[in-house]
Amino acid sequence: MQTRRLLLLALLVSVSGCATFRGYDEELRATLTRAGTGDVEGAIRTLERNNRGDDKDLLYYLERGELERLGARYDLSNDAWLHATERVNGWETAAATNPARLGGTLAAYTLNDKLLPYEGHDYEKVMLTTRIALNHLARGNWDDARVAIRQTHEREAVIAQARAREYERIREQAEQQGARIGLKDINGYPVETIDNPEVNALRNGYQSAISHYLAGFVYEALGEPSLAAAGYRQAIELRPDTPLLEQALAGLDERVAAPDDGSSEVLFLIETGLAPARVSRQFSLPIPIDRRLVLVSVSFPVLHTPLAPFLPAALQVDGQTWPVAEVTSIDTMARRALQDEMPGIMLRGFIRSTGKAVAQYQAQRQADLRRRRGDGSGGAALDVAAIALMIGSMTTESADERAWRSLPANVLIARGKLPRGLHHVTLPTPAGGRGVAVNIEGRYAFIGLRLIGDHLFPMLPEAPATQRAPGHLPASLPREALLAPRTEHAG
Amino acid sequence: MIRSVALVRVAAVSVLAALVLGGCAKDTVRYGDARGVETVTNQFGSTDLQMIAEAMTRSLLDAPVVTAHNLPIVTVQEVRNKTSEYIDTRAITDSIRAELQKSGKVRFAVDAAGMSNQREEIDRQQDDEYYDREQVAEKGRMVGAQYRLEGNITSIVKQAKDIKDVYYKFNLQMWNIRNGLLEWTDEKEIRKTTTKG
Amino acid sequence: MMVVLVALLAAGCAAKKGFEREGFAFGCPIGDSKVGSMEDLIETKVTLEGRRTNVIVTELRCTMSGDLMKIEANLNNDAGQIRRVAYKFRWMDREGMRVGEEEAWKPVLMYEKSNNVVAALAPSGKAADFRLIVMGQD
Repeated sequence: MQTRRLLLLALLVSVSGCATFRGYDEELRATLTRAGTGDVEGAIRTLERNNRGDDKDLLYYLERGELERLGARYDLSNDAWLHATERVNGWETAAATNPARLGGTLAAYTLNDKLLPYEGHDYEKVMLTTRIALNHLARGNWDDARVAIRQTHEREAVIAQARAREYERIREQAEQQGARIGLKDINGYPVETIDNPEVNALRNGYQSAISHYLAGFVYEALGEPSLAAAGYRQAIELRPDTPLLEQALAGLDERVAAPDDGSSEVLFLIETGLAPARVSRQFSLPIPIDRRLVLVSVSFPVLHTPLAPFLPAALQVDGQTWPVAEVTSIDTMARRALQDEMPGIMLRGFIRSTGKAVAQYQAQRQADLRRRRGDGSGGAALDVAAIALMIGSMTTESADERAWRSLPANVLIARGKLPRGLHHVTLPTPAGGRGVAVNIEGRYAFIGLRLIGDHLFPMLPEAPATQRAPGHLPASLPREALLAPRTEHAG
Repeated sequence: MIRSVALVRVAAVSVLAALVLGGCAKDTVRYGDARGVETVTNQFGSTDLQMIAEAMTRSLLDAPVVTAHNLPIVTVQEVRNKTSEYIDTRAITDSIRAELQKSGKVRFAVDAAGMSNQREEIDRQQDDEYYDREQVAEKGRMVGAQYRLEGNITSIVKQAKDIKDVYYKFNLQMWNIRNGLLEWTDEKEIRKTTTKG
Repeated sequence: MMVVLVALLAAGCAAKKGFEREGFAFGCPIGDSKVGSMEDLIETKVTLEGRRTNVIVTELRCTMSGDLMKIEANLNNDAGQIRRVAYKFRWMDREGMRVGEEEAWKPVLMYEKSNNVVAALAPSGKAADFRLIVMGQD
């Protein structure tokens, strides 16, 4: 009876071990390396190759939308992100109405976190609507951008509520089960990567100054200063001591009341780098078995920055220097998110390892007992079971590496007034200045500049939604004319 | 040994229970009372908006400038949002305007936000020969407001471990445009406290 | 001395409905119903809806502000604990039809052993009668 049950368990563990073996970090590294050289098409092909099934998950749509955005195909990008939004909405409804449904399935507790359906980290959910708004802005749809921004506010509120409840529950659960372990109990975990002053200075892992600043800018452009004020004020609270943010609020009433003098209020959004990767590493965790603490090997995610951070200090606009300020670090947000998620990850790891360790311990003990009783074949079967369990736990035990990787690491802004018409903008990169011609129209204008490595992806307001046809040139080529790389280094 | 086996069993059972309970619960959607007391969170909500709009309207209707029966012409200006919450103050002023208009004691002139639409429509009628010349809205016939409404909303938020307290103060003023006198002003205060548990 | 006494007596009579117009009690419209005291008036004008509460209306007065009816009601919490209630007024015209939209529920916090005066002004001159509706919120 006992033997059969153990064999079954062993089989289950080892079989599902194969199914869950998917290293997200490795998959995405190839995709992003291509994107970093400007080969958006190649990056999309790589992403497609890794997601062949019909039932694509949230993560696929997040990455796909970002890659399409790099190719300046805002419509296709928003199509992908609309699919992503549907999936996040599902989470949102569950979070609002039934929090018990969140935070782990049986499989995650017994086998692996990767069996949890990917729901997206909180900062990704907020960034999703913010980036949809950016796409609308790139296409000049300010009203649609406003809708996406309102969704951002609402989503933040849902997350705040859900998390407050969830963290409370995990703390209670952990205490109930005697799993009073902190980050520092995991031998060798690089605690400082997710627990440092910069990370702890954030209010939480999902509210960002950029989302709120952008809200302020859109509301201001639409003539709604009372909402714009709230946006700028939130941005200042989230990122104190940033003069650029404070200026936006200070001059708000004046700007809204001023008559049209033929110039444009221009916001440059400069995004650099790539969001950090979660990489699975094995650590030992003390688990109580037979009234003794036994060190068991458990995998936990560790953050890894894929590209060296680059923060340009200034932007050249028609030869003039515009100051640039960092307003949000998604890199830091991701670290804070992991810090906040760790108690839950550790609790599941703890329960899982305890289960596996106990099963292994028992199988071995039973085998020894049988052998002592002279039942050689029964003992051998149980030995096999113990080995299977061990192999199973080794293959299943790898941390969840899933995260939206094509997000930028750092978000900076520059803002000022420009006469309408054509202007030349140069952004310094690690490999010298990159120039781009921009056409400014309307009282308010928004220009996105994305830098991956030293490749600049300009997201210009007039960029047409190109249809993707077979044999289409890499997306960065059609704008090669605008992208006249310069040798001078403007930083 | 015994302890850890029991522990795993407890964990498994509790996780299972959560799954079963969670899995069976079905989302239900029902209509609610649009004017009911809403206390879902202590952010600015529908009840606050309605209470402010109602209090301001009734107070204004009782002001001498309105009770004098001369149908004052008013325009609504911006209500400044001085909180760090996204409060659509235009929704509040729209409600106030709707209630005042229903009382039949105040008339409203087009406000700055609606002016461009107004101008466009007059221009359109003027420029389009398909309209009856006799009835076309002429330029230079609009009536300017005698009074303007403006205000602000501020908040004080205090938060401790298990308690969050929000105090809102809404202030509305009616200024005489010609002589710059303050004809009426009133305030509405709201306090909301959330306690955990 | 005598004059003062007479004046006082006269005032006493006035409070006893002597000076009230026909169909009004404490300034409030009562129609044909028999209202002989504050308790009667409160009974005809105050309705409890939804959750019951032991916060009660102890006084009710009406007056006119221009052509708008103005009402003041005193709520009393006799209990030794804080009570929360919500109230609203329902306005009717001369034919008994509702005037305007249903009002929003207004939440009130009542400290232990305390009174709270709530005031209301009719939404328009059409309002000729009213009900005060109280609902518990605890």
